[in-house]
Amino acid sequence: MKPEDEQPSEEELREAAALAAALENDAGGGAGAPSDALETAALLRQARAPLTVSPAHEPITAAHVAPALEGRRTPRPRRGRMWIALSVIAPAAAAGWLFFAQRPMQRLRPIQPRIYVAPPAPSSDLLAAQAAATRGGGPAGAALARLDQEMRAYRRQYHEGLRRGHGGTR
Amino acid sequence: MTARGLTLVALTALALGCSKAPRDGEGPWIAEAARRHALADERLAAGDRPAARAELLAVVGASVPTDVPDADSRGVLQDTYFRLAKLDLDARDPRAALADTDLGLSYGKPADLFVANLLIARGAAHEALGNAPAAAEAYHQALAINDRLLAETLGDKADDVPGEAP
Repeated sequence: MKPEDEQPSEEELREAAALAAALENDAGGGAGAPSDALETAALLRQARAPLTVSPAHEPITAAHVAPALEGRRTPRPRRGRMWIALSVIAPAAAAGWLFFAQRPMQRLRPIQPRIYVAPPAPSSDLLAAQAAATRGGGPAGAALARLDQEMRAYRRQYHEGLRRGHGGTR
Repeated sequence: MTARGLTLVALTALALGCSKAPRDGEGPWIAEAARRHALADERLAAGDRPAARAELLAVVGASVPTDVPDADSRGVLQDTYFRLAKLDLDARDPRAALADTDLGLSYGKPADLFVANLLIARGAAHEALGNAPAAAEAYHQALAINDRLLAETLGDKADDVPGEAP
């Protein structure tokens, strides 16, 4: 550090004294202080003190600020949050209803015992064709072909019975 | 309606859709099987055996709904395998016919019409392969079931209760 920096000059001392005087005297105090000292003092004062409104301007300021303050005091509409909550709750409730409501209904619903009605009794022609096919040997596939033919009508009858809910075999 | 409202409706519909509602699958499955068999009949009448076979393969290839009683699905599937075996025998492919009967009989061997038919097709396949003892055995089992069914049909109640095929 230079020696000249350690010792303030006379001019610096005067400016410091003027600034100190301007800060100590709130309103018009440092009348003799230079203008730059007054400006600096004003800036420092505003920086450390809250913003004040002069009494003359208070009604005007209040008229502008009051609605905004009132709006902040009242609870904000929670539409955003409400929609998010509904988006989660509604599907969950629907799925829950299906799960919890349907299951008990199924349990309470009288169990419909499946009546295992025997399939239609094979006709004597069908059984005769089947018996002939069990002999084998004969003309190639003739007995089996007849059995296959007899089965067609029986099959239709069987499927129809199953479709009506009278399934089962004996 | 706002975008949020639409989103909410869509999410609710999604949740409802994803919930597994009990469904009755027996009716549609049997109806489809019946339709395929009818189509196979038409294909055979037109002389198109491969197309008929494809229809029957669709029956055995479809997954059976869980609510279809085993007895019902067994009857439908065993009958379909009998038809497939018959088609393979007609096509001079007794090994494929034998495989069809194996698959059919894997569903069970109660002494009923469908099992008897499969045993007959099995006997015919063994016969075509020159395996006379196996053919005779299959024919014999089929004949025993046929005899019981004939007795029941004629009102002559069999003394023993229906049981497994021999």
